[in-house]
Amino acid sequence: MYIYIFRRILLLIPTMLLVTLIVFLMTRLIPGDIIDVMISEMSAGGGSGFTSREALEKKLGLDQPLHIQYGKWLGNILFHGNLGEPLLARQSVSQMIGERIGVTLELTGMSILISLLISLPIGIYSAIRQDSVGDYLTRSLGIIFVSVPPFWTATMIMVYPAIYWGWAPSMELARFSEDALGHMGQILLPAVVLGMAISGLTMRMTRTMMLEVLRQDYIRTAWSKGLRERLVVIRHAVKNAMIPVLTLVALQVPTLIGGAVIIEEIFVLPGIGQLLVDAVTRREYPIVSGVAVVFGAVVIITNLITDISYSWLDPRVHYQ
Amino acid sequence: MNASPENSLTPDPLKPRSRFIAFLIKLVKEKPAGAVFGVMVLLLLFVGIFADQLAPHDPNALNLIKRLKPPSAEFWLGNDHLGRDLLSRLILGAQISVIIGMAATTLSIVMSVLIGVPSGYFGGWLDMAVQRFVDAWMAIPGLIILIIVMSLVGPGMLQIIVILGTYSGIQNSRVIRSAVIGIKENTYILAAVAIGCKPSRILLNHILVNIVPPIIIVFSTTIGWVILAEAFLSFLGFGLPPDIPSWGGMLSNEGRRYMERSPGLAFWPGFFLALVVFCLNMFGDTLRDLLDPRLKGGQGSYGAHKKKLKAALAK
Repeated sequence: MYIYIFRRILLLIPTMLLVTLIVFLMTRLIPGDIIDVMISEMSAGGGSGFTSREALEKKLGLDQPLHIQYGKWLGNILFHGNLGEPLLARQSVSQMIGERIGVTLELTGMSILISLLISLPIGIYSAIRQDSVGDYLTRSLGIIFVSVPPFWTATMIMVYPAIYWGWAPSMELARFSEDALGHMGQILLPAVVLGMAISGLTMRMTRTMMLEVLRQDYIRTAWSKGLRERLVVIRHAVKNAMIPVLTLVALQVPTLIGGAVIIEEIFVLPGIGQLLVDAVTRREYPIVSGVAVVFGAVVIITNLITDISYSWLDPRVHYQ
Repeated sequence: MNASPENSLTPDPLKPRSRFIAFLIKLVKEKPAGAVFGVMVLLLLFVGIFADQLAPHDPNALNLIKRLKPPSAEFWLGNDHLGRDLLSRLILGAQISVIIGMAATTLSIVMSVLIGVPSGYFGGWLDMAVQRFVDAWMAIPGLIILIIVMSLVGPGMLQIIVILGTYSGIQNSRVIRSAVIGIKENTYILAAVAIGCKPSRILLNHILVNIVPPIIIVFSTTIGWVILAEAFLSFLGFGLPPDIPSWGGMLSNEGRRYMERSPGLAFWPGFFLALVVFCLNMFGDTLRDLLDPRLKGGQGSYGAHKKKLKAALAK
């Protein structure tokens, strides 16, 4: 088991290196005309802008060959935990991300929780009442949840309550240390929007897996022992149907992060999604690459945790 | 129930066209609801192609007197902040979605076949290298890659098609690869190798033909994603320039700015977006049920099998 975990972590290293390489190449291969745009945009903003092309290229590290730039950037991340220096802001990229990552983790964590609260009961119900009217309705509901873009739902939440009841979500996030309940309440609404968007797939997966498990011999045995339906379903079926569902939840993390970016933007939540959009708009490419690397790491680590947790959920799974 | 409808379901290798018609018959018979969504998808395609003829007004005609007016007999869904007809702009938005959806998805399929087929068929170090790259690519959340690259190349129709197609193509190559791996152990491939077929001939005549069902499924799932992704990018301002009426851009630019005075500007673009993606997903689901051999006799066609069984029992 420990050997498996160790090997799994070793395999993670090349993937992570490739992620940094892709991010690096994406954000450093800036076309020349974009540099001109950056100079004009940044110097228009105030006195602290870059006046000459050389100064900006030096700050971006573009005056050095590509492999040396990459080596320096990677070395800073690995040995100093330093994700780079932004062009104009005073804080370092790591500090900026550190300050804001909490909100994003809260939002995404709560969304996963809400999506499970929605999708598990509905998926299980749909499977044990297969081909009933309720089953058809909930299956359509699942596809509706997948199809409705969360940024539309979020916008509608901003629009209609404001018109009819004069209520709108607050634009300033309460601090957790001062008003914990208010803080959680403010994140709850965006999390519901995001959780709904990802619950559709989980719902369908739960249904499919439950249907498969419900046909197994041990379920028939459980029935013939005369167990009540609730016991058969919860004690025997659900636990065994959960592994693929768990994988799916982990696979949805990239989608979830993409959703968090736009939801943070709409609800004005100070998370790293908002930081990213802001940085891309201001062409702060050092911040952009830092955030992208952090997101990549989050995805890779989630996948690792999922893989390892299989054996905990299902004793039949053995690793060599 | 006698033999005649059964015969129409068996594909005749000599007549490739009748196979398509047989598939349509099967679709309507086994999945009437899916067929309805198929018609809706065709309707979208129709609206997209004939958008210029269907739009009741010039979608770009400014009419400042009509600024933010509610729906009227002449302008069915009202006017936007420049007095332009919302309905006409929505219809043009359908055209944008169709163009981007079709073009980017086609590119995505080409990319995924070009990457997935060699990777799956040849295996070995090539597969290893390609798959590690795909792993890393999929670890970075897609919409993040899209935002970054779009900000570098600038907004525009061609850019968005190329980028959405490339991004999802790399991702879809996984599906194509596993389909190829599933096929390549089949006896007819071994036979082709044994009689000395060149790899190019095997790939084109044996592999490519047999991965058409998964390709159709990937197409149907990707097109909805592409349309949503374009709306997402345009919503954030990285997609299409604001003068092109994309649904995502309309929702963000006009919709959010004037939402108190004219909520319809935010409601309708998102509503049509959701409706179109819903129909595409429902239709894609139907196609998967009918085409995916792993689901044959399984949940997907459960109802149809029950009917057949009942008919057989009655006889």
